[in-house]
Amino acid sequence: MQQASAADLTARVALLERRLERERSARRTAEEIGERATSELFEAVQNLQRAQAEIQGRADQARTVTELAREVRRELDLDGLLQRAARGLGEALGADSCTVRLTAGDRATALARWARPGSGCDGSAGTPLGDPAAELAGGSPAGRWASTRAATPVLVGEQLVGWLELESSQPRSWTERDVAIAEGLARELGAAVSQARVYADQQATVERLRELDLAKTEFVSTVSHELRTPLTSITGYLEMLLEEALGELTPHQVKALTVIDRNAQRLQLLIGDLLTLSGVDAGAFRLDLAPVHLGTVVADACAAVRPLLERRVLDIAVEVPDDLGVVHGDGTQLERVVSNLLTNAVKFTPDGGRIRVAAADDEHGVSLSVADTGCGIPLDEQDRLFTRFFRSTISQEQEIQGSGLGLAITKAIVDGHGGGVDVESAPAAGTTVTVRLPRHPPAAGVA
Amino acid sequence: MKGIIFNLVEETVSTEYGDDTWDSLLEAADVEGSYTSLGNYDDAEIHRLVDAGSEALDVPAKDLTEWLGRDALLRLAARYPHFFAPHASTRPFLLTLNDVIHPEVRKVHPDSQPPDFDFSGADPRVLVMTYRSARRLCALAEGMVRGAAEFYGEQVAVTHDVCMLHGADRCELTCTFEPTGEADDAAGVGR
Repeated sequence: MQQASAADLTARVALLERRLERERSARRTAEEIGERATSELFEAVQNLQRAQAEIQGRADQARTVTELAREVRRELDLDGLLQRAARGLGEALGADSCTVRLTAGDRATALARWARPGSGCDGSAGTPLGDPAAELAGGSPAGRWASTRAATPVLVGEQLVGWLELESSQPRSWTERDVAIAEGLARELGAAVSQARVYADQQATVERLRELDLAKTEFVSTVSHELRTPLTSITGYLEMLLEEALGELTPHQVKALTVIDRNAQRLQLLIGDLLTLSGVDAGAFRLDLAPVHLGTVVADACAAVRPLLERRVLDIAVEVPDDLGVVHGDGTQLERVVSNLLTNAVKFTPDGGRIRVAAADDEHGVSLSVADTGCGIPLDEQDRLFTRFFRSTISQEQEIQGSGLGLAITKAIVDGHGGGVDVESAPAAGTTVTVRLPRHPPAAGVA
Repeated sequence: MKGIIFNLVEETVSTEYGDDTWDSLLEAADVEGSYTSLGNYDDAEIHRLVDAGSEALDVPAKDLTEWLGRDALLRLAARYPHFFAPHASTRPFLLTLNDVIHPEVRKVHPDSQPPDFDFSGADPRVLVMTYRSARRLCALAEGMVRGAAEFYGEQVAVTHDVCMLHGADRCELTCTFEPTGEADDAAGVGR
């Protein structure tokens, strides 16, 4: 039994030893795997940290470029924005000087230079690089990055328009960040330069148009004055002829002279309108203010348009209360307003129609309206009614005479009084023009 | 094959038949047997161990493998209860194999190659699992299905007509579940 037990024991020990050896081996394997995994984990974490740093670096570069670009784009003037770019980039990269040079094509060379105070680069324009591409070898394909000088091209589209040049008094190594920021700003600068040039072109165009407009206004004014003088002489002699002060007239002669007189008066009105609008454009339109009774103004205007009503069948009603409030205004110009509106109403209302002139006090002053049952104004033309020389399609189709200045002048006069003009119109139903006048016009624009 | 499978097999054999038997199986299979759950071992070793066990215990290799699978599943359930707890029955648990459990296994063991199963079966009581693996351990998978059913207290009938061990390019395990309180009766070595 003892021998058997000893044999059992030996077998047991052998088994345990084998198990122990297996356990040791398994442990070694596990440790190796653990060490390998730890090393891989360490490497993975390091890679992640590097990636994170790179992402942060790129974000920082992008932010710097965005900030520089925003600063540059604040300026619409080309020289100003180049100055901002030079200063911004020089400071951001810690350079001693930064120069922006535009050299493109038919455009004049523009130059902006910034130098760090006390760097020894300040004061002068330095020694500009003639052709950075030729003078500075190396660097990235796009730019040139040597130890004390660096340059990156400014492109508009594919076209080289200039260089961003950096200078350092001591040799230095430009980092990837420096290159990325300089190239980023160069790209933004290309776009900003285009924008500034477009803006400058636009400004020049606007200025040219302004000059042309002024020349046109002066021309119209001069011609109108020149026309008025002989016309005054013509109408004077016409008057004498018609009064037979220069001899007796035959009925044929009277008829001919009457036609001449009517057309001379039309010319006079047209020249008067042109001169008024020239005055408005030149800021020289003045109102001669005095207390005005609109009832009188309306009556005078009605009298003035009476010749138009000969051989017309129109029902004209005037509804102006006797106690209508007085307004401070220019009586002559207001009569012009009313007679313009009445003339339009007569011209655009067929025989058998009605015209109603009404005035009433309202909370702000006085309102005066001229309503007709005429042909109305097409809807799509109503927003151009106050445009000079605008003539509605109806007036052209029906060959109704007119210069297209009446409503423009009406509006100019009413505006001068601080009032407003409203038009309500429906084709074939008629038109109502309402003028609202304050009791006292504002001080501006008043003589 | 991941070391954890060998560890589970060792536990099962040692618990059921003693350390001596395991020791002799290692010798008979001519394998070193120093398995760590972190390690990766030659697939052939599991087959050699099963063959040795089949001979030593006089049990068909397939039955032995299935028994090892069932027991391994119950040990896994004890070790990783959080994979089992969210489910009330076997079918939904099995459906998480591809999407939850095996991805988790790959996280901890990047070099592991757990099998992917294709699942089908419109009937909520039936699940058809298609198994494709060069290891051809379909019996281990079938045993694990039975172990899972046992864990959830269900009865499962598994038909395994299409089998890689019989020349097919895949195995199809058609599992039909019946809830029961006496699921234990269906478990055990062999079928």
